[in-house]
Amino acid sequence: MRKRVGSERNFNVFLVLVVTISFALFFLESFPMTGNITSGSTTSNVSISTYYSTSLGTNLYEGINFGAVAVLPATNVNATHNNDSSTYSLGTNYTIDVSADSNSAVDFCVKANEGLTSPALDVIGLGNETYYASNLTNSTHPSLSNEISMTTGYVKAINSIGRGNSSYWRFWLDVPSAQASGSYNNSVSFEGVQAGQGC
Amino acid sequence: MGLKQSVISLSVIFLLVLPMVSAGIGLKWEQESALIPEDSNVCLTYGVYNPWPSDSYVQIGLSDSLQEIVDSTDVKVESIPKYTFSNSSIPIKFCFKTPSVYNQDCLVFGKFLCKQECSEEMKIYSGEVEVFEVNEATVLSGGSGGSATSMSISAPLRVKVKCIAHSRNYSLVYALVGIIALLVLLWKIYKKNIKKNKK
Repeated sequence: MRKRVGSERNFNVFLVLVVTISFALFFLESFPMTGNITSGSTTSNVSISTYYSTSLGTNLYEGINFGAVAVLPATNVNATHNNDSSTYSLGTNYTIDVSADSNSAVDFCVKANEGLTSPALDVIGLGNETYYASNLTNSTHPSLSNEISMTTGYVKAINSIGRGNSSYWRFWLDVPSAQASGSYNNSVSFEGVQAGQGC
Repeated sequence: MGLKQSVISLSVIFLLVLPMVSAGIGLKWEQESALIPEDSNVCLTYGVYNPWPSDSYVQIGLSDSLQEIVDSTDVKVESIPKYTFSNSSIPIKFCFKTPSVYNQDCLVFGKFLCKQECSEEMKIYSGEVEVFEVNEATVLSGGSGGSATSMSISAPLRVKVKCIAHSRNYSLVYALVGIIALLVLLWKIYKKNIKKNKK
């Protein structure tokens, strides 16, 4: 009888030990202890911010208009403000400006949503609407000889326009001889990105 | 015509002849990448501003690749008053929650007794924070028509998901063993008390 009571007591002690050790291990595993730092230290910190602001020039904000085309085929029809700058003789009046309140130069990308399309769904193909951008403007810049066709994905058009400066744009349109009469429209989007970044 | 009618007519004419002035958009940021553990949150703040002389209307969003991890945004800004400079930009907060992306080696039900070795490549979500200017001008179509224009700017953002390596976690085993031992102990005490009461 005494032997049985003794072994039962030993078993109870064993159970208490198991409970204690199990919960101790559980807490150690779940909430690992970390040592205290005894040496002193100081942190150095620097915050670098990037900011830039852009604006479409008034004429570009109003849209790119090619006027009335009376004779077909028509090649390299100038957009209405391609050559009427009041600041630069025979320069373009289509600009995108970078604010002086910027600390980064800006690259500009451009795309069109689709070819110029009439309400009757006739289309002047995307390849017929072209552009070129330059960081200066006069009678030759931006130059027709460098024209690039619009695409539906963003394409980098000009790099590194500095704070307080402008990019200058010209747009041209080719209208094929068999093109149906009508008013054709689409949307052209410009995106400014920090210089060196992709579109 | 009465004086009131004349004033109204003159006001309408004045508004009609006012040139459309392009507004601008600006974006300021201090962080282009964030390194956060999987299954956790991070919030990043961007500032929008408009140093140009007209109020601008904006839409703010994230590129598609970041949409899958965005948790919440507080994009309430619809217009930015003119002459809001970068030093007083309007803050916008985006919060991201990273999913569990790294494989764990688990012994029970694919969820318990797991270890993580972090042998996989770091998962990175790359994209942009985009600010679009809402253009209220419409292209003045006529003849061949033209293109409506819009402007956007963007800031790059990379959310890197950090894998935290750990050895197999046995806390569940410790807890189960502890609970079973405790239940056996309690059952034995209960049985002993019943025996005592019977005597």
